[in-house]
Amino acid sequence: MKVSGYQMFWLINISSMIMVSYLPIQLAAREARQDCWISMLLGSLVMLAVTWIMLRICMQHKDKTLVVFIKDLLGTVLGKLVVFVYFLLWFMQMAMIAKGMAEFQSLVMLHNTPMLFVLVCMLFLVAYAVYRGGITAVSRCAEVIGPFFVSVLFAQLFLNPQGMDMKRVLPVYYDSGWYLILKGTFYSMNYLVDPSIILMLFFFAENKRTAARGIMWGTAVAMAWGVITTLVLLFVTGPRMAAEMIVPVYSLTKFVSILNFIQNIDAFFIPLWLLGAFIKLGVGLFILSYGLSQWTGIKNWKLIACLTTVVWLAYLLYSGHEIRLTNTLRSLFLVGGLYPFAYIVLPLLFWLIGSIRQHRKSSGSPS
Amino acid sequence: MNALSIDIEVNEAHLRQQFEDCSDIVFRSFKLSDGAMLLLVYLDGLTHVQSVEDNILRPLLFNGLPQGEKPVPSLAERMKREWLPLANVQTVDSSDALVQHILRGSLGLLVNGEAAALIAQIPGFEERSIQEPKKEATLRGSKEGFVENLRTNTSLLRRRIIHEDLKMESFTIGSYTQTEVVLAYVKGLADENVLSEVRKKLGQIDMKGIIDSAYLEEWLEGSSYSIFSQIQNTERPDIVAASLLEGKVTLIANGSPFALILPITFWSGLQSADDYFERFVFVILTRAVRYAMTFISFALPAIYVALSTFHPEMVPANLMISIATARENSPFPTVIEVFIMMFIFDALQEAGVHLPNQLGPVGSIIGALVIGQAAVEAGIISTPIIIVISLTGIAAFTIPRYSATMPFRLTRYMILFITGFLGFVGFAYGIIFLLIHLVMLESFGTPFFRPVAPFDGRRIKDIFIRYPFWIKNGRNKKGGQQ
Amino acid sequence: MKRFFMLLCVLLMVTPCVSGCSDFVEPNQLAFVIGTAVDQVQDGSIEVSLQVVIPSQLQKGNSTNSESFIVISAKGRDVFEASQNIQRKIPRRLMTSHRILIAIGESYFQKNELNLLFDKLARDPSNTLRDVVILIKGGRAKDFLRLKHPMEYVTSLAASKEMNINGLQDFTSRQLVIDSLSQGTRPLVPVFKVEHKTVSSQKKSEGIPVFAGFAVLNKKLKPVGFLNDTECAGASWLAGKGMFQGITMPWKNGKGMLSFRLSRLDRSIRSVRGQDPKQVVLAIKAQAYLLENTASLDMTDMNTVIDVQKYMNAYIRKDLQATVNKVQKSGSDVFGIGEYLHRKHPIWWKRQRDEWDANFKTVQVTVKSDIQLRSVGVIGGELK
Repeated sequence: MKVSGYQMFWLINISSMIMVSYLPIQLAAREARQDCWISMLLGSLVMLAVTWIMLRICMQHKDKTLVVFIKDLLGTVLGKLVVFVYFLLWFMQMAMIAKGMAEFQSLVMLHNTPMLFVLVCMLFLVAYAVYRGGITAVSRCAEVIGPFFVSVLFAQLFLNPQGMDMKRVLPVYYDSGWYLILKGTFYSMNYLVDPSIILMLFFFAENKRTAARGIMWGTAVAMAWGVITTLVLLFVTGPRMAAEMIVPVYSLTKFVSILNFIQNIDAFFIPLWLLGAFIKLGVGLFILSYGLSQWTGIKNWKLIACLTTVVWLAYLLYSGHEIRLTNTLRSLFLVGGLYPFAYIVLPLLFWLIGSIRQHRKSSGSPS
Repeated sequence: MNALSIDIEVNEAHLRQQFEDCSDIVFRSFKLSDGAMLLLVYLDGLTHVQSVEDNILRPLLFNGLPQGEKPVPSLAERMKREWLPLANVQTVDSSDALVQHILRGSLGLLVNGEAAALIAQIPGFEERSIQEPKKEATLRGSKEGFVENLRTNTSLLRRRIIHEDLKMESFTIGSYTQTEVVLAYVKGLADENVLSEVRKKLGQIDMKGIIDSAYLEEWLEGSSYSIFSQIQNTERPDIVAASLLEGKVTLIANGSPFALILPITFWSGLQSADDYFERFVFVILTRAVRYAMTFISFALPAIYVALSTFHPEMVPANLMISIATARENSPFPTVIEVFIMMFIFDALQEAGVHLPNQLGPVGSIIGALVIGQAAVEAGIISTPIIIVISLTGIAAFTIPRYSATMPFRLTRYMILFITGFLGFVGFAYGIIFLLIHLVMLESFGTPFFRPVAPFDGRRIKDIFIRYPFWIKNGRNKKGGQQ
Repeated sequence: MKRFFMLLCVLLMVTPCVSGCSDFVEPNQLAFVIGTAVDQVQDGSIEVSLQVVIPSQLQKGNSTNSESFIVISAKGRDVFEASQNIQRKIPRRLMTSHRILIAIGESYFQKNELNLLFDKLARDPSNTLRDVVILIKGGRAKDFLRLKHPMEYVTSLAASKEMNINGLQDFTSRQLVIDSLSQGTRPLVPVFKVEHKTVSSQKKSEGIPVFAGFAVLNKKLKPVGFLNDTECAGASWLAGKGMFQGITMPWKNGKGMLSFRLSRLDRSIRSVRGQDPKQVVLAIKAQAYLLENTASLDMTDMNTVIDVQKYMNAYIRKDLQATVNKVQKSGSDVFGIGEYLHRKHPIWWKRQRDEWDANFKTVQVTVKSDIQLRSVGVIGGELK
């Protein structure tokens, strides 16, 4: 299973864009109003930096996955514990996207169809893809879906020229101030991308250099899209309405109306978004099951993928009843604790230890 | 392996016994002036009788054996060396081989006193002349098509690729039909792995007979359960020649005017030979139309169902009201109606294939009048659905190869089914499922969806827009590297 | 494993068939709502009326003699409840996402605040927010929907087309929601009234809806003033929204009239130099084309042309200034001056925004015009 740099670009790009389109814009807009694009921009820069750090770590351990190299860095017991944090993180993200998808479908399109059925079908497809070809299948799907997905998502931003009023983002800064802008960044940036998936994915890269470039570009394009979308959203609806919308990207597609006939392009947007979510979930399931198989020592990761899907489905069904579990997105524990820990503190630590080791090795070997 | 006897009588009796109850076998024995006994054996209808009379019987009977400068040990050998004015002559010394050759239309000549037989190929059976291929007509380009005769077909290729690296390996397959199959490739261009895999698989075929190259197709395919055929068939020598130059491998079976090309990708089914004969700018348009229509050919009924019954809010108001107006009195649910119409369309198509030519108009009258007009006027079928289904049907015909349309005709039902339950969500699920299948499918080691997935920047130049040849080869027109 | 997957596949397919839950609705089980009317009734609840097209009547040739739509009304405490009550009365599922127009009766907006209505509009995903919101003056909105239009098959369509053709595109409910949410702009809502005129020679017409100006709403979306026919063109120009097409003015000496077509209308807000936020200039720009000239002016004369341009500018300026003064008196900033000041002087604005309606009255607004006479038509002087 090898992934080329081009495929890596699409994998990272689609998963990031799915993340961006789902939560952060709304979180940022709620705090920073018309300055939420600054929050998004800052968040994007932070996330790009984090991605860069992750890539540095990966470059230090080119031929190992996260599970393996963390054992070298922190020792078996501690390493396994830390990896488990990442497993939990990925699992939560998968659950969040799958749940968000199903809920969105039942809100917008399918009011009577049981959510279970929508979910089961999606999870079946994801599991099937991972079972059939692991990351190869997912990445090949990604490069087919990618060009359509990205071009439609970019194009729909500019399909509403008569509704746009650039002045709606003004005045910059004065209404919110740094505190609110940073607060918006703080909440939204954790849901912008998931940089930690790189730690697993990079192992499968065919050519490490092009893969690294693909990952950086993929993240950057998704981030650019996020910022532009936020701006366009402000142009079209103004800050007040943007802050109130639950799924702003979807609402944006609803406003498109060209010649009074090309309207409701949400009909095309929703299937496309589903295709993107499929990629995101596929990547998640693959790295989670592959990581788990290395973690537990069970060779058959395909079996683990199937089992994980079952657990995942069970969790989704359970959390569907427990309304409190669904509202954890803004909880301080996650936003202030887990995410920064997993995205910033741990990678920096890995990088530090890795660098020291490397340094010691290179200075130690000649003597 | 039983050797021929010296005694011609024994040989004749043996042959007569082998060809018992074969009414088309001819034995002609005669005696020369010097007392030599000769026997001619051939199958009537496979051998050119006139030529046998002119070249063998007449000189032998009237002139006797010519006297050479030196006597040669065997009469048959002498005849072959000095005397028979035929190109393809050989000797065999087993009766089984003799039978095999006779069965393939050769003339057997036995001479008394020699344990060998002379085999002369004087084929004289009726065959179809080279005609324009009907199924893959093009506007421009060669009008030649393959015929049933293997040698004619290989000659058509040889005339196009005049190079000694064009190899043609021969295999004989089928315990009864003994069909000759030729594996043609250009050495140096074709992938050795593909070749060895094909050779291996050809060796494994165990069947009574290969009636058509289609039999081979099923034996050779890797994923037999896939709805997509992983081998292309064509009647056009120019397509085969072009494919050979692309490094592909071709199989030609005797008795079938269809050559098999492998490995192929998803896109080769959507490309027509005309694409390479017309101006490349125009081809960009035709390809765009073709790809769009391909999508329509499997997705439109599902999209219609999803839009009109699941998400009517997504259709512009005026359009939705006119659809609702047309469907006001329909007795069936939309899905069922679409399904019925799709079924009828496929039925008409199937009937059209089997209808004798004289009855063709009857079929179209029944189809168009009874099902089209009457059903709409009776209010059983609504007009938008007729439009949707006919557009879908037309769309499938823009795919240049008939066998490439079939997967789409099947997926049409599949996607309609899931869309009938989940609307656009189901549609997306159907597409994802199809996509997973397509990207994981391989044709002899080549990913089926290449060059889109996995991406191949060099090859993709020939997928969506056809680059002119000089760009495709990475050169500018004046011959220098770009 | 493969067999297991196959089995799973089949099960997946079978589940929905068995459960029978589906969102499948045939088009002939739907009632397409084209217009909605909201009225106040005596007991304090509201009455919602829906104009629903009858598809079978729209089929070829049928529309001439029978009604192509029905109007159904029901009462309720809020819009949703009333809609539910309507749903109970008709055999098809109501489909509001193709709605073109929302008409609000005079009785409703005299007593209530409109922002209660718009919560439902923005929250329900089935609303496209592309429909037009109008007020009906002098009558119930329900009666407006019941009218039969001589040209279009429903009055809602007629009203929205009428607005479109007269350059009033920007009055969708989305715009209304955005305007009402922003602090420095107050919305303008088009007002229609029913005019009883005979337009058809065959039968007596019940009346046709006519555009009758704008209502000026305050922060709570309660109408605080009306602009009549003549003022509204200027008001929408000044608000940067609709475009009005022509203007007719008497010539200086009172003899004869001049008519112009105006195009490329533009508006900008500026602070007067000196950084005093309370002094604002509304500058308007346009290009004028002389269409009719009964004042016997010789337009081949350069001086006359310049004279006409000057006079036209002054006339329009005076006209618009009067409109501005009237709007200002009502205290509703429909021009978006507050929004401008918000952007220009954000810190000053923070003190002002809570009582902007009152403060707006104290702002000194001046209209400046720059209208260029582009063409005098295809004849120079008067035809004699």
